[in-house]
Amino acid sequence: MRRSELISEPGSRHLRIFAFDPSLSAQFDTAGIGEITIAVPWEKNLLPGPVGEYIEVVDVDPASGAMYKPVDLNEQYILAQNGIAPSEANPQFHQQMVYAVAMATIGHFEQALGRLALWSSHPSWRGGEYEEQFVQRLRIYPHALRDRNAFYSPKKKALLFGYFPVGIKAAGTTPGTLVYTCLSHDIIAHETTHALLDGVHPRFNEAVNLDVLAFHEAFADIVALFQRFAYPGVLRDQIARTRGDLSNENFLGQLAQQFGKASGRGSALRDAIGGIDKETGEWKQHVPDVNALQKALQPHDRGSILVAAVFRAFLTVYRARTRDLFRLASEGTGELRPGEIPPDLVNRLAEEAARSAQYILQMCIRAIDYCPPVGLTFGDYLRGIVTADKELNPEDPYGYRLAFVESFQKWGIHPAGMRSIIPEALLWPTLDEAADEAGVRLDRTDIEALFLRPQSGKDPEQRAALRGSQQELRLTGTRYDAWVGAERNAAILWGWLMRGAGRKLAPVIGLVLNKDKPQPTVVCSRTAGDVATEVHSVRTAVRRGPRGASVSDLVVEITQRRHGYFDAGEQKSKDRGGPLARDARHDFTYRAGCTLLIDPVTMEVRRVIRTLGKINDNARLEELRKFLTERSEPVNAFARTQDTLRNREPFALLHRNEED
Amino acid sequence: MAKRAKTAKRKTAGKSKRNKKVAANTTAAGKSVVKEPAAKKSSWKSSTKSARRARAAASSTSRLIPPPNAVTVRMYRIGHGDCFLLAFPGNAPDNAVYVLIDCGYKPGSPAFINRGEPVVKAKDIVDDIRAATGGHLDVAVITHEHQDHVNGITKENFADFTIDEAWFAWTERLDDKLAKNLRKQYKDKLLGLFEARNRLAADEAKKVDRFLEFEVGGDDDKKFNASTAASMLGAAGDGESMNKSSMKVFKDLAEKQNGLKFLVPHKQIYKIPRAPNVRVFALGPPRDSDLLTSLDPEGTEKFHSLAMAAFSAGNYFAAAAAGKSGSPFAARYRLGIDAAFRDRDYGDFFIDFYGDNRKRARRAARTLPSRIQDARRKSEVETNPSWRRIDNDWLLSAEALALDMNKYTNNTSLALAFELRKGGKVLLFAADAQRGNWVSWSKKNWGDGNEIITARDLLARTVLYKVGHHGSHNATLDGSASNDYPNIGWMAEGEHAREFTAMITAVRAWAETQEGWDHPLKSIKDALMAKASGRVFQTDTDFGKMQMVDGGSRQDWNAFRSRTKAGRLYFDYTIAF
Repeated sequence: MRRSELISEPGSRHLRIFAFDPSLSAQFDTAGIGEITIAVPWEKNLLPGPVGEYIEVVDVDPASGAMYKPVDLNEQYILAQNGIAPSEANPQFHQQMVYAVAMATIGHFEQALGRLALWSSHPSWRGGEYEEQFVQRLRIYPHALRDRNAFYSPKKKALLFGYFPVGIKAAGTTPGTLVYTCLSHDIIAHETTHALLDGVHPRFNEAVNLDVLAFHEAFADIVALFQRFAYPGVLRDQIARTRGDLSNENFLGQLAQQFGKASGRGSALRDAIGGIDKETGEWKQHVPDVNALQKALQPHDRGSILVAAVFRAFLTVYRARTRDLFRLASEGTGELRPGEIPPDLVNRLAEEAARSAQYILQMCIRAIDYCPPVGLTFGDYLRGIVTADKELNPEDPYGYRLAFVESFQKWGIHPAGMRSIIPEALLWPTLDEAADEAGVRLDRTDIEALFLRPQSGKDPEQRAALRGSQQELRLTGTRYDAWVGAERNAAILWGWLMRGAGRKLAPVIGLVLNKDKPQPTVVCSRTAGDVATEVHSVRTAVRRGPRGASVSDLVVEITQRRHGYFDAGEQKSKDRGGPLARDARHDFTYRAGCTLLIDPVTMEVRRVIRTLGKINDNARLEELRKFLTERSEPVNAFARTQDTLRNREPFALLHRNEED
Repeated sequence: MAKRAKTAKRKTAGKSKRNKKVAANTTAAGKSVVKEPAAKKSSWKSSTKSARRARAAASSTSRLIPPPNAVTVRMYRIGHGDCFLLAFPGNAPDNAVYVLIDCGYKPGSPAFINRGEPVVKAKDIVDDIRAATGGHLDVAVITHEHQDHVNGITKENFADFTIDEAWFAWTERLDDKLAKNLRKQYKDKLLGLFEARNRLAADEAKKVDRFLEFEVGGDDDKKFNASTAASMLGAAGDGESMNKSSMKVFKDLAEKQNGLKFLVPHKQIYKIPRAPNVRVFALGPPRDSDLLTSLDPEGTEKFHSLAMAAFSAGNYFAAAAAGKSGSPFAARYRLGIDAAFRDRDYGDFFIDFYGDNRKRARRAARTLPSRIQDARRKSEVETNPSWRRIDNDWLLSAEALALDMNKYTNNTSLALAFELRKGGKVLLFAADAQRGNWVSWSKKNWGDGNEIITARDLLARTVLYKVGHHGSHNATLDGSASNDYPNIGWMAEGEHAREFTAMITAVRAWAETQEGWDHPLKSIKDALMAKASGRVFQTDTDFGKMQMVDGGSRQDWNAFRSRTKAGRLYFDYTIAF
């Protein structure tokens, strides 16, 4: 194709997709909103597959012994009609849809986090040396399995989608027909989010408390739910149907309708607003229950509570923002007359809903930078949401933060050890606050040394001064450069923290050093003999507030680790004994550490987010041991099978059997 | 009617059929019991041997005779598996009525019961059953088609028995459309799983085999072997698994007496021949005749809907594993896997972005624009490494599906409640029922004249509970009396609590060798121990080691002890009506 010089490159590519999944297009009632066209960024070098900068769709179907020809989205007939028309029978449309929805999800992430999205690195051993390798593209297999399942594989850096026949007669399904999980907007967005979150927090796969895996699920659901508010046609339709009251049953709160019905639930896979009442058989809105979290022990059950809490916060804000519109439309009473509501009102309400939803989604994504590096709890996440938003939008005129705090409280989600739960009290401490707490006096020059002076250390990279990566700051440069820069920054930061002026920070940010005389089970580094301290990739983020102000951060995650033993006696004797080898046999690993948010412009440590305990904290270690050994009391007679399946693919089983 | 037919047959054999005579005249009775089948089946070679065996066993001292107005439950310590003999009083003191429930074990498990002592064999158990009953069973129940419930039932073991009635769940009925459909799907899926396991690497295949063994059977003598089992099943479409052969033994014996019965839950109240006061309620497996036509199953009805859906997905998987199901897409979009790599237009794409081990040359760069190619970067993964491929990932579903299937068969368990007299105590035999089966128990009620009997009522009167599925998770539902589904909290209300006793068929030490099967689950055992104040039998635990829990009533414990007799082969536990 020759490119004309008279016209500039387009900003986006328009592609048609199913708004939810094929089941809605097949119903008269909802056919109008079944298919939509979305805009994804124009990729200059998009190859057949599609294979682009972030995504590679490889359509291999080993169960059928087949490979499907890759779609070329630059083919002129396809370009001319906004992509292939939605069709279950055309695998090339499936390729187009997974590409389009995954790209939309990535777009939300990049916007919220203010940086290029990277997938988690591939660990490899080259010549006996451990090395992390850059993985440019997430691979998507639209027809990988013949199973009621779809999952993100952290090992393969791939999304595997399954397809299966409908086994029962249920409304909106036909027995014998196939359900393709890769045609569900929600499932694609959900799985892509798993991959994106893994790219930010690889350690969130480690189930060290009840909340971690649940969070992965809930977060993926939240992104999938709120992403749909960006589709105006669907939103207007649902607003008109519910007469503007989104707390009634509607598609916007439901996830994966076709999948849920076809797998025999009789309803959508999950519903953030309500559910079928067992007694009446009628749909009923969820009533917040402060005790729900204590009863829910399965990841999906717990996750759905977090999703319900976030959705409730959204509804609170939406109601507050639209109260004036309802009054205007009802002669001041606020009570609409029966019947349909006028299209002007629908449009205005949709606008408000879209704006609130977009903001809530951004808040939720942004908060993942404000989380401890390991062992996240829902309470930590709430603090992350509040803190991240406060930095960007100090005033909060619409009460988003208050809505979150109130809703989380009603669902019984509390941060541990908080004496007050007004939003201000939930902010993560600043460095000064943390230093006061630890009784340490810090000098401003200690922090500035990170940026102004080269660090000491053997590695030449460690001997540089930290620069806020200019490329990252401007969201330009290749993602490979960003990845290399993050690794380099991590090395510099390590030099400053362990060898330079940063050493003074250790007690403030909860790190344990040799002089603290840690137990022998705390892992020490091979060369220096100091407590092994890992600094994970240091990313630069530039976030733009609603008033145009921009905030830039370096996000630093630091962890230390310790060998843990299921037998408390063994732990005690090892802790009393001599030094242990780095790779000594152990049953589990206990990690602790902190996340720092550093402003590269003002050279300040803005926030200190510590894990609950330090690495030498025996009580926390005991808590983890208890969790792991009691959890290993199986959820099923054949739990070991489920455990091995889970180790192989941590997310596969989660998506499959929730009930016996 | 069945009774009359039986009487007629017995008379033609020219012997008195009444068991009290058997007791009075041992030799004659022994002969009468043995000769009957021997005469009918002249080809039965070991008839003389078994005749001797029966004669030796059927002495009056070894007969199981319940005290007047009481039932004795004999829990056989057969291994990790179920075998129960219930003796109800007949119309004369020494003329008891016998009900056998299951007879099977996991191979290898008996050796773990009393290590160092001679291992109990299934044959020893069957010999005892013969001696205890005089070779006649009034009712023989097979709860479901799993190895650990049926593999003791072989032709060799039971050929010389007479069985008046054999009870199965409705899912075994041959002329039932729904049951037939389920069985067909089940078998297709089983065959597919065998195919899948053959294509898996050895260690993965082993994991699938552990579940397949449950479904097709095998015992200590005839070990499970995946390849012979598959060929047996596949043979001309009507081959049989070892489990099926076991079930046929009882079916055939009962059919001779016209006594083959398929129980449907909530349909009627069943009676045991010759024990007029005892009534039997079938609680599960659930049957919903609307199942196949149901348009919108309720979100909460997990068993029907989820199990059915899992089933059909499983069959689709199985068909692919058996190579019987092609791609769902039209040929124009499709390339064969080998052909794809050689394809003129698309070969490079698949080599570059998927990779083919047989093509050594890495041509990864060919379809990439030169800009990207030049920038090949030091620490970047290849575009087509083998660790990203998914050639066999879909087969790994086999293990999960095998687990599904295991649960499904457990949920077809015939769960029975024996009511000792109208409004009186209840013995609850839950077989291996898991959650789906349990929650269906209270969905319907039984009409009893003008009264209505509910599952809640039956559970509240339960004084003996045969714990579901070796005490595993989801086979004894946890909960309280206020929950709306049947659970442990519903059981043994009021004065029945003082007598409540549980029986767990598990050999813990063996289960631990099975890659950590947690049978029984500690939390369930703890809950039962607390509820029964320590009155919990477990196959592998000698009676002497059983202890009252703290805070229990000494009086109740002593009463319990006096009702129990224990030995190497079994525990006898007697309950007054």
